Amino acid sequence: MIEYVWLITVLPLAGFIITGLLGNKFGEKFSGIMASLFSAAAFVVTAMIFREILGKDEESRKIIIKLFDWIVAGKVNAAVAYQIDPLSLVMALVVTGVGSLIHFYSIGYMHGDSGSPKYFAYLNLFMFSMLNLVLGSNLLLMFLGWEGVGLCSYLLIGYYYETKVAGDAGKKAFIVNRVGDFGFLIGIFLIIFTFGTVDFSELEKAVAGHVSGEVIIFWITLFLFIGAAGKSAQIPLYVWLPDAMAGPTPVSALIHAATMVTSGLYMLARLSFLYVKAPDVMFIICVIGALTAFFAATIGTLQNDIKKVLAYSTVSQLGYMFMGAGAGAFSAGIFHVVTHAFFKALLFLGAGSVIHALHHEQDIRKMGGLRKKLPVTHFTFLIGTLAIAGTPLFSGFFSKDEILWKVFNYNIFIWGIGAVSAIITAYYMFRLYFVTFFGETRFKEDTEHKIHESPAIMTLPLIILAVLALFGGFLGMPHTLDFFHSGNMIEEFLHKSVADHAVSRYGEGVEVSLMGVSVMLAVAGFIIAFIVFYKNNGIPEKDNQYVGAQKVIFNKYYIDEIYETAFVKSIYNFAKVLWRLIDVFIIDGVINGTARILRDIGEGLRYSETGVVHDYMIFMAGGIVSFAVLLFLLFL
Amino acid sequence: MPESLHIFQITETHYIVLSVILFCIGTAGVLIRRNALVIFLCIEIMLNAVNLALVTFSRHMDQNRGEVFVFFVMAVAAAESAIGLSLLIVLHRQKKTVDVDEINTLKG
Amino acid sequence: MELTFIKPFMFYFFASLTTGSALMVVIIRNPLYSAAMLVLTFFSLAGIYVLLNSEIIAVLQVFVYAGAIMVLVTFVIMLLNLRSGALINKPTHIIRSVVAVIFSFLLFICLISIFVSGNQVENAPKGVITAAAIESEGSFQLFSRALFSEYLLPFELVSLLLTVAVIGVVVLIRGISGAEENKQAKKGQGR
Repeated sequence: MIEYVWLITVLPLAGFIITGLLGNKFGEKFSGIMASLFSAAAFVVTAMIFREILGKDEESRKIIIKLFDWIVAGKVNAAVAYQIDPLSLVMALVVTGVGSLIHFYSIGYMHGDSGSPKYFAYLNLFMFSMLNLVLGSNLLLMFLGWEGVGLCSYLLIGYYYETKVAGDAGKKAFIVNRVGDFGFLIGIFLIIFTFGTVDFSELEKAVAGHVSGEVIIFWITLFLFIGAAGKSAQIPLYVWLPDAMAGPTPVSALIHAATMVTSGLYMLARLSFLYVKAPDVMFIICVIGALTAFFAATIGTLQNDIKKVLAYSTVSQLGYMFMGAGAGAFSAGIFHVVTHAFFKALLFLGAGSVIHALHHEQDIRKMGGLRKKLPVTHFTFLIGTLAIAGTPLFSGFFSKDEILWKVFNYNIFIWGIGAVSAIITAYYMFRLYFVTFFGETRFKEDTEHKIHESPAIMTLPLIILAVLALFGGFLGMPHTLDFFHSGNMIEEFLHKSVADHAVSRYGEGVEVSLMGVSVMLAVAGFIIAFIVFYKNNGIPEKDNQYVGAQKVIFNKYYIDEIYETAFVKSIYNFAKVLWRLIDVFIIDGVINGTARILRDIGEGLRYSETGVVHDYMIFMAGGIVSFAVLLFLLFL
Repeated sequence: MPESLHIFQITETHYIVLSVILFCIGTAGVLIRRNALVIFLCIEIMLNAVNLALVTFSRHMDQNRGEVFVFFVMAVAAAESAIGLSLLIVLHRQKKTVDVDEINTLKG
Repeated sequence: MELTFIKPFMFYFFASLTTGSALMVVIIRNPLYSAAMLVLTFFSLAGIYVLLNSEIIAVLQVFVYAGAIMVLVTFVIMLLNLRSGALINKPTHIIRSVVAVIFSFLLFICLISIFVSGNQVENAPKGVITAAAIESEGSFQLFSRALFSEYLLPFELVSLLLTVAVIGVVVLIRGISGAEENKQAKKGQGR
């Protein structure tokens, strides 16, 4: 089965071509079902390959299937080759699995939208790109997927292109990602320059000879991290992700929560052998991850758009993953990618279900009391909230705790930031939960009777994801809590393909007590949210009522405004100078000047055309004489 | 050709110099004269200068190709003069002049 | 040849005659005198050809140029009616004259330098028509042999060219008057 790995990427591509070409002809239902089936087929293939790989012993789990040569330039040979190893398989499973669920969900969500064939085609194209990113066995193929998902992200954010917000958000995402991609590209160039290869396996061999802390490795990893930060929405390049919520909600769930935004972390894990040689960069990553986790969480506390809250929560959780990766716990980061994919997709789809029920109302101040109207959505959303808040035995608890434990060993101050972020996470998630599902109904009267639970095609994926969010954590049981003696399955599965580097300074007792602390933090967050938003039934205030620090946080620390002034305006003014000076003055001047000079020459030469043969003869004789003189001077 | 021109030792160089002088006189005449007929005569001078050069080279290289060529040049010159002179007559009939400076129909 | 010692004098005589008469062709205002001077040029050039041991060309020069072409020219001058004044050379603009003389002079210098200093001709392969061969066989015989064997085809083509020229002249002259006659004939019909 492994030799059919190409099916994993080709199936979504086929889906893209079929829905893209025939979707408009056969309509929404056809394209939805086709796209979903193709993506589900890719999941089935992935799962079969996964089973086969599980049957092998650890040493032979890395298999590279080369399809054809792609770019052969000098010593650099980038083939279209897929690398199957535990890391890429875990990611591929998440992408195809969650992706398929979201495809099915989209059939219900996009029902009645005239552009849905286009939507499904893009979704399949995204799957194709993402799987290339994940399965590619060299940096260039990974970059192909990287750019492909960026393109699909742009297309899908701007799906409601009739509204200016969506178009602007798409452009913003594209441009901010371009900044990151620039860093990624420079990293690739440096790798080619230094090691002369882009193939992961060869690269690993080449890197083995280098000592830790080399300057060139520092720069390579730093530039690659800039790429990762762009795609995975880390400080300072996170600004595009909250705006990306302008796209349809399933897209937010799939691309901007579960899969694409984690590709930065995947890249880090894939190149972990390189990163462990750059401890300085690891520290930078860890700090940036922690800061991202903290700042995004604080912003999340005051957002009133249900999707914006989830978006900042995503940024915050991505920060956790990077924090873990920076601490050397790459597999813990990947573990969090997996669990996060489950519960964040679940939360987004739940939010989508709410939005769908309320006819595209996203402001939580206009919701409330929805738990009776939307029982399935409510229940699954609760599970997602519990998971992300870090309630024991839910998936988020294990993965987040694993990261925090590794970070605690790495640097206790960074752990502090992470812990504070955890409490804030629990707070804003329960705030969202209570405000949305409890209290009085605050939506308009006439819409109340229209509210109904979403159809089965939407609730079924919710239930599946809820189950996964509930039990997904048992993939990575910490050994201190290993009641079933199953071991930390995901870490053991990954440890051959990921160079984990985490130190272990403290004993088991500390780990257990730290878990206790985590639980208490989650509970504390829950209690605050409970008191403020359930007991007191406090709904968020109006936009203009915030003062002081709250106002700063509500306005997202004015980051967008600062960027606007610092970068956008200056580039705009620079472009204006270029336009006025270079384009209008110099380039146009040269072109118009050429024309003017030629016209003036013609004006002058006009008088030589007398029509008198004699004058022409004089010119001709002049030419001959000049030629003779030239010959004379040259050869005699 | 020898470097020095000996006055009493007539070599091919003397003939060539004569040929060049004739050619340049012809050129000057073509450029200066306004009368189409005289221009025609000057062209004949130039042709003769070329003929002289051809015969000289022919002698110098102990061949008679140059002479044969001169024969053809003469034949072509005869044809050319026939055509040219008849054109001159036609021109005079139409424009009542043979002054080439007064004929400027080439001017667009 | 016994005349060797007077050869230089004869050359200079003919050369100065040629040059002088050619200059006169250019300078004289009356085209009829120009034509006469050109005849003189042709005759003296024929003398030069004799000095070059090329009697055949000398004879052809006299026949074709001095005889045929110059008679034609004189005919044309007569046809164009000298007295009408159309043929009298009008003075040329002084600047153009100066420019023309400068050009000619430059051309002269260049050509002289190229020809006189050229060593390619010196190294060129020699043929078999040496002075001795001409002495024994005569230049007529050698020339005619070449013309009617090696150059037979060009010779025939030249006859064709001359025929075309004759036809062309007839068409040129007749064609225009013919068109005028046609016009008049049409007018006559219209009446």
